Amino acid sequence: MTNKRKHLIDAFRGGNLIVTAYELSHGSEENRNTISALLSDLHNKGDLDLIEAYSRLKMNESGGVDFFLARQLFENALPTLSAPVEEVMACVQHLAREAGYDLAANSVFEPFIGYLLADKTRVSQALAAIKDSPNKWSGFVCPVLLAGAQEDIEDYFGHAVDLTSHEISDVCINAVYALGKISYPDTSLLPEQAIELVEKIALEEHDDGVMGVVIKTASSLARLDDSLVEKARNAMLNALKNGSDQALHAASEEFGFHSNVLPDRILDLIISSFPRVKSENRGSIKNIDFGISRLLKKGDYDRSIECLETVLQSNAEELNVKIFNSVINEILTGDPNNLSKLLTRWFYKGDRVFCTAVTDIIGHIHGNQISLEIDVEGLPDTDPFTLIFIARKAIGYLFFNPITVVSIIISLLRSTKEGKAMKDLEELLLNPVLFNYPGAARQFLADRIPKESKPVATIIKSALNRLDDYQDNLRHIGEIPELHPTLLQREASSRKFSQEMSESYKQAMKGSIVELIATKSVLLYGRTSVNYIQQGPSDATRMEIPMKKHSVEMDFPMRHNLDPFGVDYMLRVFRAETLV
Amino acid sequence: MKLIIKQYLSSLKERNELDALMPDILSQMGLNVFSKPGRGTRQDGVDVAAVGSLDGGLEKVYLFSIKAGDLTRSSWDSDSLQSLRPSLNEIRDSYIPNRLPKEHKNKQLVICLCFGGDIQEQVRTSVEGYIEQNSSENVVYEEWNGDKLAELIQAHFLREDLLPNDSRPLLRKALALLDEPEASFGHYVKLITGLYKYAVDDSSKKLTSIRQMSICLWILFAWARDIGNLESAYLSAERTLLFSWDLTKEEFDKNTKVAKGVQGAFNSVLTAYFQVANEYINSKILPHVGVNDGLSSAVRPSSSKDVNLKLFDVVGKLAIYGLWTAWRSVTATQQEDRQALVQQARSVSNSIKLLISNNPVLYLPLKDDQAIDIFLVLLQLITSGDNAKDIKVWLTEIIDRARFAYEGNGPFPCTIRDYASLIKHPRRGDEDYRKEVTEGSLLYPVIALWAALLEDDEIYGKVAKFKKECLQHCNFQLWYPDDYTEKHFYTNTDLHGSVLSNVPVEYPQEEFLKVIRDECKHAQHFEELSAQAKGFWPLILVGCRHYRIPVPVQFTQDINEDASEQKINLEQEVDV
Repeated sequence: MTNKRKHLIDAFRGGNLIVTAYELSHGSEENRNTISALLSDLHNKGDLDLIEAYSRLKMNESGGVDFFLARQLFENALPTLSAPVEEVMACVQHLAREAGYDLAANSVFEPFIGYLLADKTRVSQALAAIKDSPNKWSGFVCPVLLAGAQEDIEDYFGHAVDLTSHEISDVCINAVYALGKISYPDTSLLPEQAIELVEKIALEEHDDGVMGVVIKTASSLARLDDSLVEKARNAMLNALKNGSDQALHAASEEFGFHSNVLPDRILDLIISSFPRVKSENRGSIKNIDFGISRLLKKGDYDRSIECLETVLQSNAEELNVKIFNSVINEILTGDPNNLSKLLTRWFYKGDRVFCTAVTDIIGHIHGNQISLEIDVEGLPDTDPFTLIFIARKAIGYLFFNPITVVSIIISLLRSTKEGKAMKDLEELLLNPVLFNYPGAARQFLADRIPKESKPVATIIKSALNRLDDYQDNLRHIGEIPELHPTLLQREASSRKFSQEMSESYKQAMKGSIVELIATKSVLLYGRTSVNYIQQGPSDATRMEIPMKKHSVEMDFPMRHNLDPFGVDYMLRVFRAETLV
Repeated sequence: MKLIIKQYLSSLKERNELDALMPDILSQMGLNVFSKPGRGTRQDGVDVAAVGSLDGGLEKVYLFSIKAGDLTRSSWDSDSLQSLRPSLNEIRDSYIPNRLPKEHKNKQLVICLCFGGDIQEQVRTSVEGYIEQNSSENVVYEEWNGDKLAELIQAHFLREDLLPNDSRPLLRKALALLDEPEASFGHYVKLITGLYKYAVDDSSKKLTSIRQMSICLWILFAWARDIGNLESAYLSAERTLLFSWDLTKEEFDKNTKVAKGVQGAFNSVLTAYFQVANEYINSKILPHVGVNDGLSSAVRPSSSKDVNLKLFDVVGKLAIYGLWTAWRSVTATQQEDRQALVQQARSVSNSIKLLISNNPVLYLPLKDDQAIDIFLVLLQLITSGDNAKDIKVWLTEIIDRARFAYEGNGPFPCTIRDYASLIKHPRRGDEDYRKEVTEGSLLYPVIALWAALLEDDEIYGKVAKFKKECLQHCNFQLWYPDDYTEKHFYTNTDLHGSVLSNVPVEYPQEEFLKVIRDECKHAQHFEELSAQAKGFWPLILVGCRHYRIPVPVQFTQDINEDASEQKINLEQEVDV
């Protein structure tokens, strides 16, 4: 202990206190807490000036230490620190600004609140500093009000209300924000006063930043008390009407983090604003993604999908479902019925943006192709025409997933007894699916025969027999060397293919996690790599790594070579069709 | 070389092959062939008869009875009418007393047992015994087996001093690379170009050169047939036909002995060409036209472009085959033969229609110059059978797909010819590229022309609309022969012909046709082309297909409004 103290003091005198403290705190939470306590104690005894040292800490010049871990030592020490309020405020402000746009940038304010509460006079000093220099200290409005509210809620609520009409926008914004963050006692009437004030601000103000914070505050208050929901909704309605990107972003944040607990009326209001979200505002889009996935997890399928549809449709040219990673993940790993319901719904609608989304979602599945079924109950009708329409959509959009297509068609066969419809489905099964994918799709169908009802099994057998006839006819032709491409043509094709594969591989490797976490080393020969790992000056361990073969197999549509235009055209027609 | 020739001889069939070859060999040896193979059974046992003196000896009459391959027990003496021994008996009992020309009755008769292979040992004693028993002072027997024939061919056709330099190695290379038709054909072209140049300026060498071309073609064909790949043989047959025509054309109207010899040699080449084409079409193509995706899948493509290139090539060849059949139906001397050939030509049209409907890649050409193959097909369909409706369906599909592909950045028809560039076509999203590779077109004017001929407003309107809305930068053009064409067409030694640019598809159909026809009147050179003038018009189509030259629009001059079944007018019948 004594050694560490001496170390730290010497380090402070040498100008490298933070580096030393960081090194001493390595290894465990306990170490960090111990060093933080030491730093606080040494500062309070005057052996070092922690404020001065941390006021010089910079993100890009931290002397090899992790900025946030180093800052955390200060954060741990702050609540017990004895230092003038404004000096602490300056240091805290510096550390928050240095963190930039990192999500953890403002985490230093939480211990600052602890620092304020450690001495009754500090809150009022901080507030006075804010009032004296509002431009300089506007960022402290919220933490100071929150700290003050813990001491005297009525008084500091009043200060907050006053500050909401301050001439400086940042002060207003932070004051309004604080109204939503105050921990109100259960029986307090203050939340109602707060929401009424927020309602008024939403009506009277037009500043986008203010509207954003109104939305956040209204949302917080609505979650606090059901009786405030309507007023909160009103406030948010007006804020969304009067605001623009920042308001929408705030709404998306509320949706993203609280969609599973927000009241339905407020949820629906927020969702209705999403068509205005610009596709380039990726932060807002990510929040929406997260919010929808929460709704799905909660089981609110209809609302979540309607929300997704709203966003996709309003930005059809710019947005793509691939951005909605959380949603996709939830659809694929959550309730297994969700994907069937979704593809049924979207194929029935037939809109390009939704059907393409189905392709993208299924494209996220790696490994073996999945078997899917139509959600018959989700279909508005099981008219034969509708079933054929859906089968054609499935082919058009999932053509490169033949097992998936075949499984969908089988589920459509099960849902009808109408002879013509079944025959039409058989035709689609045969051409284009089986004609293009006579391998895996054929095997899948053959395996299904004993598991299906007699009518469905009959259709499958008929399709397979016709496929056999088609293939037998082709095999019967034998070799006609006169028709084969020449040697030069084969070589040219091979060269082109190699170039394309090489280019495709390079593109795929860019930004790949393999390149991020590993260094590449090329072996020209052999199948095992031998390396020696130095573990000391004269200690090397031999390591042998056998290489494994890695390959990917995919089915390629056979008729793509025989009639490329025909296949492409057919898929385009299937994709473009709509129900009238 | 002798082994190569022996191999070739042993594989020849009796009818239309070995018996077609013998007259050329005998003529080249200096004999006068006075009887050639006829249709049906032997003429009293004699396939070929010739008279003359060999090696400076007395003039004799040579009577040949021909069999294919080895002489076996069954081909020597069995119940079959085609057995050799009964034929030899017929010669002795019937031909010599009744059919031998009077002027030759006093000459020594040599009855030749002629076969492409060898006498098998088990039958040798019988043969020798027969010869022993039946020989007399006046009638002797000789064995002309594969070995002897090979020596004669080598001595009279392929002797080093008779051939340009490197000819033998080129023939060997052409044969060795038959599995790679492009390479094989390349060597063959060098070979016959050498033979051609040897004789082109010296009439006295033409006869030998053409016969040499014929022999080389036969050798190539026999070997190609043996290994099962006729592609090089087909291309070589086309080239040989065209080159030999170029050597023959000036001799065609003459009556001299040499001229007649040259005409005869050309007919041998034509016969060889027909054999190759027959074999190619009948064994490789026709059996499979009715199979859905049949020929497409037989291409074994490395890229989707391969199927397209090959199928248009095949349909062009099939069309040429049909057009020659139609030509033969007009030139045939027997009514029965005419009718059979007319039926055959119609059958080819039906096969073409099946080929197209079962191989949908034929609904969209990839290269603009596939308009040549399309033109040939249309000519065939319009001349043999009631096919106007099918033509319209096909052309509609082509123009619809071409436009869709162009606008949708699919594989639209382009002017690229180089394969390496073609497999990268199209470059999506590059508007400059799209314009560059459609700066000129033969295809769309051809479609417009046929639409106008068939009075189809819809198809014609589609072409006009496409031009107006998408292809304003494209020079729609049609080709006409000019005064250079006759000199260079058959050998492709230089550019020739003139192009009617900016063909006005925006005009109404009648005015459009008038422009085309008026240009035909200006460009009289088509009628002056020797192949057209002398009645061998299909040769022009062969040249167009082979050298990728547009088909002259003059071929459509006789197509009238009805267009139900058209006749091709010949100016003269040709003796073949």
